[in-house]
Amino acid sequence: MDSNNDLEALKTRLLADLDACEAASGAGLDDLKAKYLGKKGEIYGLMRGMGALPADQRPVFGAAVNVLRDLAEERLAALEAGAAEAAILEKLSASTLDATLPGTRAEMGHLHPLTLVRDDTIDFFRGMGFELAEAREVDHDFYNFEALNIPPDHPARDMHDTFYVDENVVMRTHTSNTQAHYLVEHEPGPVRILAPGCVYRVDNDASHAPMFQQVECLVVDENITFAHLKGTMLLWAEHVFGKGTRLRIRPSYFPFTEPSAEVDVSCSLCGGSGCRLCKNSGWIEVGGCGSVDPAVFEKVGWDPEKYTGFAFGFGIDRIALLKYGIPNIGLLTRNEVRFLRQF
Amino acid sequence: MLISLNWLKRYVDLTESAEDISYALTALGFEVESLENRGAGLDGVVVGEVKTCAKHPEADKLSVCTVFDGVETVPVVCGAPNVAAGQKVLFARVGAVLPARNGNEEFKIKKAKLRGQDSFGMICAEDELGLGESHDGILVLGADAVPGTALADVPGLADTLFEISVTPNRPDALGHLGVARELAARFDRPLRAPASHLQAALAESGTKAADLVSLTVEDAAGCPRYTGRVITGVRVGPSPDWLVHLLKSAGKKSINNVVDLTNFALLEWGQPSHAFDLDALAGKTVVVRKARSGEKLKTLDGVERALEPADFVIADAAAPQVLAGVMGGEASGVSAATKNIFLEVAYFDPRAVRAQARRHGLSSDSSYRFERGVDPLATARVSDYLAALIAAVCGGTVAPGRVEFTAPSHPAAPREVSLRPARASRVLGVPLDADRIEGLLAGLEVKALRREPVEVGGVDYPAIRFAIPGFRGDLEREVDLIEEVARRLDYNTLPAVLPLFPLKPVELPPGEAQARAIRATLRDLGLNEALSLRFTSRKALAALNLAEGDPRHRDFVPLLNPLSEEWELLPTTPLPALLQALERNQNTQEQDVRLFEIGRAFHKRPRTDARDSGVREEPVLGIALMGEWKESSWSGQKQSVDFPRLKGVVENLLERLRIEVEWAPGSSAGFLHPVESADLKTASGELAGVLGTLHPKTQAAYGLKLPVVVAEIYPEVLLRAPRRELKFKPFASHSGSTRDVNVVVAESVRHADILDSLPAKVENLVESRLNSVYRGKGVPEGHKALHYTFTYRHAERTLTDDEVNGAHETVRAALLKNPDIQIK
Ligand SMILES: [Zn+2]
Repeated sequence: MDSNNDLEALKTRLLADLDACEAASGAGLDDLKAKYLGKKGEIYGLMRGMGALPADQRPVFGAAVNVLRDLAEERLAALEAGAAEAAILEKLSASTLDATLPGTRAEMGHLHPLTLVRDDTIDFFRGMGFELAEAREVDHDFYNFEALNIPPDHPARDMHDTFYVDENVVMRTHTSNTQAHYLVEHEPGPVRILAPGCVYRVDNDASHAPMFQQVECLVVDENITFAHLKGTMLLWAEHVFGKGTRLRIRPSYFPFTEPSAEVDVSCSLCGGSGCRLCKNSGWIEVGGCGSVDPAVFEKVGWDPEKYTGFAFGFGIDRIALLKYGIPNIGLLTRNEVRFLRQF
Repeated sequence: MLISLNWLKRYVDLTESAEDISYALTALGFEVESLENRGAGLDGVVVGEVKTCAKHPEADKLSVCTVFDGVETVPVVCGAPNVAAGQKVLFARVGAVLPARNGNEEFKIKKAKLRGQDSFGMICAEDELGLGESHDGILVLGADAVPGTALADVPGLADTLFEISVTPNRPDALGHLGVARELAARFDRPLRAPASHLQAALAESGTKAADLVSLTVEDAAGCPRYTGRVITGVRVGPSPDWLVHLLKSAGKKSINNVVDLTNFALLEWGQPSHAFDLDALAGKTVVVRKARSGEKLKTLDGVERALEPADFVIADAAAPQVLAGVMGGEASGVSAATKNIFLEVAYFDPRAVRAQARRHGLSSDSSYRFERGVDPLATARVSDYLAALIAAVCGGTVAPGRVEFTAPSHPAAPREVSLRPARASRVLGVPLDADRIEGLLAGLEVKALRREPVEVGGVDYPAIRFAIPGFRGDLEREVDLIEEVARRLDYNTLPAVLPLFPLKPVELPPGEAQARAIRATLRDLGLNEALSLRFTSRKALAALNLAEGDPRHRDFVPLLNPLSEEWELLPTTPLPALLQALERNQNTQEQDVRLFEIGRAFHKRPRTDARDSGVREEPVLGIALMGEWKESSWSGQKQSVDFPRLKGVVENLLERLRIEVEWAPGSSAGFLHPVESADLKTASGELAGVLGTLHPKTQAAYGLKLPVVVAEIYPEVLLRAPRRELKFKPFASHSGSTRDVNVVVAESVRHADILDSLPAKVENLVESRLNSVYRGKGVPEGHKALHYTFTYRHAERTLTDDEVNGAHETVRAALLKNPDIQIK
């Protein structure tokens, strides 16, 4: 039968063309598609020629053409997919980008290291219910000294090299003036405050700056003990210097606390065995503390029999120097970007 | 205070290592700042005897000696001027290693030849051995030193020294006895009284003191207690070795035996005393009185001081001889010729001494102790002790009795203080009973007298009555004793407990919250936070080029005692410090410097009450940008900082703070370019800030070479301004249509003028955006081309082309109506 011969011949040609196209990586794929599967293509040509067949042969012939068409579609689709894949691969491999180039970054800004420590301290104590209290940096002698049980001409004033604005007005020498303001300005009751800020001393060398920052904590209630002071300070020390930090508390003298103490923490670098950071002592001095002296309550009109409390203070600069390994306090206020960009 | 271990051992047996004693001192509240083992490691250094000594034949300043070191006699060349035959010296044998000092490395003694003479060892000066600072010559020992004795075995030479810091409340620890008492209590050991060292008890004979000298105390307030003793026939001369060594350890030079003994008593008891040459006192009279105007006194430091009527002095019949409690005078001091001594031991009022020490800018070992308070009950005891000691060491006879004065107000017996054990437990947070407390305080010589209730606020509490020893003037109140209990327990043994509090939310104060937002925003915009010392100078303010009447150089706050002229006053603006910081960065070749700082401005203002500071303080935000703003890390894209850049930063900041301001172009601030600048005003018209290009004069005055723009913003004003609420606004689902317009205008026509040409409302016009400003080809000289995009949109539907064109025609017509504007 002619038609069946045509079908076989077509199939042979089709397969040959497909193989050739495949071998040529899909070149001429579109032409091939038009040639066989187009509206005017050869497979449709066979279909159209089917009318010339006897009616009983048509279903068989039609089915055979359909098989051939499916074969063509399937092979062509596969060739098409392969060609598309190849085209993408070619495009990708054509890129000359050097992925070792640095990223295109914006110049980021940086907060001052003392701000980092200050905010961290505020957040730590705020999390425990301490309110932020702020007081003046220029203050009357009364709040900086007298209310804190440091009368004029007292040798304890030798511990404070004070900048004077006039006879009665000073640059505050510690954040403890906040205590005095807070107690004077509030009715007796529970107190939990935190006072960070700049303080001033007439001092300027490698380890002392005339302005530095302190944080002071004050807790007052009816049954606050020295043990509470130790517990609270230990939490803070662990927060700053890591779990397992130990405290050493040794007697000292501040006229506004009694008992008064200096606080050392175990050296975070050597763990207490001694190194350069801790000058081989194993301990690093971080601040002063004590139970509120009853004389302070008396000065501000609170009942010293009813209320007890504790206060402790430490230098933010000192913590920052320790934490970030900054060798010289002077770097903190020179404002060189090669320093500031590191934080 | 320098504490010698040898000295401490006179009063308490200490077998602990230096480190353990150091730890104990620190735990007791006497922080050990340094520890020195003097004479340690000097194995090859022994006592030597100089057998012969002759001039070096070829060198004037050298001597050739022979030294017997206990084993052999060797030749030694010595350069010291004081070397002589017969001396006992410290001799470093060949092989000995001398310590490093003055930056020199340690030094090993070798056989040497000096100008042709053999030298097998070295005769040492004290500084060469690290025994002291003196390099006046070789150290000459007492005649009884035995050649060959190792340095460590020569009594008093090797020592351990603790530099302790003594807080102002503990004058008792300004003497070795006080420190020994603390250690004895801590180690639970007996304390030996100083008198036990006296060879003989006080022996008095001859004429009574009162017949040899007369005493009048006129100033009982300054001098509530005074004792004088007379010792006749003393032989002033060199001190014995034990005294020299102890004083040397404590950092004191030996002067003569009498002066050394007064210094010895000072460093033992913490009690100053003064020895007068009795025969130099006019009228054999001692008067404690106020100084008279016009009187002068040449003190022992060689300074002639004009006295003031506020000063109080020890005078003879003619003139002041001592600035009381501070320093003696040259005229009546003990000299080699002195035969008879008047010995003063007194209690001077701490405030009075402090006041006159400060008045004369003179702090002495005496004034330091009197200011802090010496033992008011020990005056006579020390007087007797020291008189006996002087007689024992210097010879002479102690005249019977004392001349003395006691003010009626002066305490005669120990102070008594009550302590409630329950209160101690409540303050320290640890249970304590009466027996325990009594036991702890007994070690400090605080004696329990009896148990008797004490009344506080109308309630009787069980309590213990304690007698406070005179040397503990700091123990005045119950809480002072509670501290002693805690100290005896050791603070480190007290428990650590967390307090319990009711829950309470804590917000940041508005100013603090705002400061955080400002810092975070500016950081995110690429700026670095600066922190400057809050000091400035008139010169730095003047360099800003401020206008007459500018508040920045009005009512500023000068310091009475500034560190330097550069830091003579408190800042009224953060800008000088920021500009100085820019200059520092310029010096390190930084090309892109972006700083901001929330500084503080200080201004004088009237006092609001008696305890007001009279100073207004407010935060001021300063921003300073310099050089070329790099757009990215490495692409090379960068642009000189300019007004729009700075304005953008400030706009971004205000956007984050949700505050709207009015921009008034052309700021009057003198440090800003008059055109490239603006003032910021809040809705209520308050000045919220100024910003702009730095004025060329200011730029030059601060030595800045790269372009600089600065801003000064007032956070407190912004805090008062209304903040835009965060509220959702519905947005159109249609994209809208855009039309572009290029306008050409003269340079003098501003962007704001162009927008002002548009009608207040154009139908469906939702945005007028400036895309670019162009000058150059195609634009006439003195003109600029501005490219705008106008967006038209309806909230609910897509506009037809006709509608868009109609609206845009309104815009174009309005622009064209302005004769200054051409549309291209
Ligand atoms: Zn360490």
